[in-house]
Amino acid sequence: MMNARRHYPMKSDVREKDDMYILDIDLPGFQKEAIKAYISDGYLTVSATRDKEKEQKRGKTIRRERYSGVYQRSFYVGGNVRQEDIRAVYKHGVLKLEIPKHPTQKAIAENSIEIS
Amino acid sequence: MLVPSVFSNNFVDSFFNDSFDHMFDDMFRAPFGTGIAAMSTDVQDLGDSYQLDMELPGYAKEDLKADLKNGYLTITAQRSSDNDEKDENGRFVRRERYTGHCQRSFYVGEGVKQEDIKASFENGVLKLVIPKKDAPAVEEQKYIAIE
Repeated sequence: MMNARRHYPMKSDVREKDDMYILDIDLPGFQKEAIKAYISDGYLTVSATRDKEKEQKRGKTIRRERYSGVYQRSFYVGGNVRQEDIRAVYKHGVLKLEIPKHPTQKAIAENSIEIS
Repeated sequence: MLVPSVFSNNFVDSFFNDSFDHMFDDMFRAPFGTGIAAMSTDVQDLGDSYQLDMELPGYAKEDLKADLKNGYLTITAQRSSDNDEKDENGRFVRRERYTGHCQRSFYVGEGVKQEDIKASFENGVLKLVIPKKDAPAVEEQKYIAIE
């Protein structure tokens, strides 16, 4: 749905490494505390809110190009990923999430299937 | 009569809305010459100055250059090669972010001096405060004194 619009914010790169996926999300102009990320039903959801009160104190807007709505985007990461395994860093307006691929869980899954 | 859903009005509407209207939006919104919608900027009038907030996510302070020439303020962003991203590249599964060189100019008036412009860069947003020095001077010049 979001892909149909050309100017959606939160442009993201996904990179695959041997042991993890790295997600880089553009989120310029936020405080770290305003960004929230959580996992629910295998979806990683990232949302951010702008400080509206702070913005209104400033002057008259002449030009507005920056996205000012609600920032939210979800990524399917699968049911095996736990929230506490994800490492998140916010730097230079980019949120970087490292999502491990879980080789240990795979081993457990293999063990659990026992066909005699 | 049965008509495939793709021929319904909704489809035509959304097709034209998404593909053409927005294409022209993009053309005018994107910084000239780059063809991409980076460097989105809000401009605000603070009374005695203008404030520019420009989105430059992923760039470091050292990657940015602001240059004032002939009344035009030009912001250039170029990712430096010694960026810490390099050693952890991995294979791209999806790539939406723009990470290359970008540049954008704003006319601020010839009366503005480089040292008058205050610039700060925080969380991927470049904030520039430009005093309105030129505006009153230009207006004064326009009038002819009538005795």
